[in-house]
Amino acid sequence: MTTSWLETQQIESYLLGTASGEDRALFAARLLLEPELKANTSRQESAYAVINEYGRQKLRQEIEEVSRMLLTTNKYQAFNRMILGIFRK
Amino acid sequence: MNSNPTVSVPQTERKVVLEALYRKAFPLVARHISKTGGTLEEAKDVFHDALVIYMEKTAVSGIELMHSEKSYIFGIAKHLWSKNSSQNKRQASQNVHTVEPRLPEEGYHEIETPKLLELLKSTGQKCLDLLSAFYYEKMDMERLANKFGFSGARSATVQKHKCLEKIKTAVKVKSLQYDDFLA
Repeated sequence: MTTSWLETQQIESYLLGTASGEDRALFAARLLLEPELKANTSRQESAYAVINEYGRQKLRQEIEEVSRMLLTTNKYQAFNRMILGIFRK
Repeated sequence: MNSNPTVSVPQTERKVVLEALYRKAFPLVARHISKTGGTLEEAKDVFHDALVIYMEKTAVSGIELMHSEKSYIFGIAKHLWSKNSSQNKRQASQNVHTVEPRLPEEGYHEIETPKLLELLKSTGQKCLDLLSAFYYEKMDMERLANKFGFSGARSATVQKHKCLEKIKTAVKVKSLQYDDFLA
């Protein structure tokens, strides 16, 4: 499957909401008339979902690393003690 | 006005931002959650969800914050916590994330994102790194080229296009396999 650069860009503008009103309306009409374009657009939308999920996982991983560093290492003992103190009944 | 840290900073720089935000905002969130009967683990979960939302919001919209970033993150965490508490649900943050509009489908089967992602992690990690830097972290082409060692924005753009096509092909293959399975 190879998609032209132009078509990929058009799909991207439509899906990411950067297309102008006129382009958007035109593209929406094409989606009704061209099943292959519709399938291609769906694939691209799924691709964005996968990419965003990957980005979010990486961000979460970094937050976990920062959390571990601040709450378990000697370097940040004072911070860790302060947090533990908050939860001491 | 506060600095506006976004997801669009290089990895190490982003960690510095995350550390600063953690140190500034987590004690505030922890106190609130402790006062309302929560545990440290719950406070961490809610705070991490709030940080993700904050980083995504600031990256996508480049919003100028009216209040300090600490207050903003605290506001998100408080909202998530009250939602969790009232609904007794650990998945509350999912509903706060922006849901992008989806096309009405006919004859197209939704590909399960987690499964496809696992597959792509083993075959297309470099492409995922490149694409997530652009689409998720909102990094511009110049910085992207610099980070990934391309000669310039143009070659980074070409590679981005190839990578996106690669992911779309994987989506198509998965979709066909799903069709076969149903047949």
